[in-house]
Amino acid sequence: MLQGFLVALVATLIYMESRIGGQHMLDRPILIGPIVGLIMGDFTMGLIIGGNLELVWMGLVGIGTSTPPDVVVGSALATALAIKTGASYETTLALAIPIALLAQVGSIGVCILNTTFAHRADKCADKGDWKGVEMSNWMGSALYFVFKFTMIFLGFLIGGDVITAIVNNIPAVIQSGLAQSGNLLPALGIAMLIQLTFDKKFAAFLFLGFALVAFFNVSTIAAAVIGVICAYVYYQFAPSGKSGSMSASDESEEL
Amino acid sequence: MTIGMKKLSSKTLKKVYNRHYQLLGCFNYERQMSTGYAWTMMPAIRELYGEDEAKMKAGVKRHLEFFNCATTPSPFIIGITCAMEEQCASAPDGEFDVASINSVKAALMGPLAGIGDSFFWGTFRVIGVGVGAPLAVAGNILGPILYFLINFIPSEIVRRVGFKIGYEGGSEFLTRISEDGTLNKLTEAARIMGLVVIGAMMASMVNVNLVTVLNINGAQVVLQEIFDAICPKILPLGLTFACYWGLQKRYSGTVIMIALLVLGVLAVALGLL
Repeated sequence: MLQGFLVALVATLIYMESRIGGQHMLDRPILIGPIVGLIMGDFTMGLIIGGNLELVWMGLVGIGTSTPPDVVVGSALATALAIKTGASYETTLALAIPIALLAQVGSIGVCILNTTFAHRADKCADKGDWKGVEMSNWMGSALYFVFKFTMIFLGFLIGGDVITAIVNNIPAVIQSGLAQSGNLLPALGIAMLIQLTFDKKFAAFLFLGFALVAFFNVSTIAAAVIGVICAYVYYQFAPSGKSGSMSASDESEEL
Repeated sequence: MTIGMKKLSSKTLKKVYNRHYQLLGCFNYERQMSTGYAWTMMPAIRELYGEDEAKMKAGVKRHLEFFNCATTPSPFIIGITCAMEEQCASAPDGEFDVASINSVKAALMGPLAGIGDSFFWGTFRVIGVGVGAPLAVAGNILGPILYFLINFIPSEIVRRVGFKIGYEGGSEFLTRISEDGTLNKLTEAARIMGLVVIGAMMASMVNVNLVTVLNINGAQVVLQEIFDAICPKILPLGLTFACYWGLQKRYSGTVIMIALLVLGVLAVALGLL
């Protein structure tokens, strides 16, 4: 109970960074995992699960007005429940999917409800109540907080028993199959990133990265350094003059 | 400019900058970051128009209009807005085209959102994951720490420098770098960085190792070795592009995720994995 409260509180606070802390891309599994792990008493396990969930969900981003399945709720619950019940994270992930989808619907609801506070700000401005205009922004934040916290807390309370019951009844072949699928899931995360950033003109660089690892077995850090060098060389030698479109947003499709 | 130009104090500018972190505080579908923008601009509006109730009201309402942009490039636009509000407050009544403030905001938010998203969602975050996730999966605490630094530091620099440049004459700066092609080249360079890392992750983070051993005329053939002879990591490459194809066919990520979970179970049941 106390653990559930703390997990919900901390995960929600990390989420709030994206609302009132400037959105430095911190409300992601790779950071939520280890911190939830710390609360659940197994930091390393949280770290590992967080890294794995990041690979699955790295392509799920709320760009513009699109609201993807709720990565914060999903990763906080999948991590906490895996450590609590001893089930593999692939199993808890499979069970966190419905909750993440439910939370997605809820998030859309919050974005609609927050319109009320935008209207309230208008009324306050008409009355000359400047403090009221300012407070309206914080009321929206408060609604985000309450919603996210409730989803995670309830998911934790209900999910623990459900997962224990299910895990005890799943045939071994399905359990090891789910564990194996953990190796396949990053393909989805990467495919989503490709969809987000692909540009035919630069397709060769995607395959350069692939070839570096497949043939020369370099680490991704080394590949990143080579990527930076490629970008620098391109910047130095590319012809000047405006060409192509300046906006990348027209290529990112709703996820 | 003219004599009697109203200038915002550096204390107020600092306050405005610090408030931009709450831009998304009341994000909603109708006017998106409007409430956050008004919250951000409030100290400047107070200082410039505080004595004139009607102008103050107009100023607040001006920034309650629709606004949406990526957060990181927003301080640049806010800096420009502060400079324009100073001009507006200094000009004699009717001489400053007040509507131009919101036209500039509206003109900049779209392109800057696109650039901001491709840099911060599409490049730095991708590099952060590419560097951090393999370490985290291996149980190394440097994973999340590097992820944090790779995202946080560039973003903070762009915000702080952007606000300053925006305030000190940002429109011309933006026109210049966009007309001489610098902006376009920077965006493309960022894309190259991201794609190299994504390609590397395809080979390093997706693992498909077939355990099937074929018995052909008494000879034991390990299926995986055949694929490795063609091209190492060809199965992860194929699987990733299969997922990409699915996304292009507009299957949702969640449907593909469930398909992958089922695929894993089937592969184990059939003795492939």
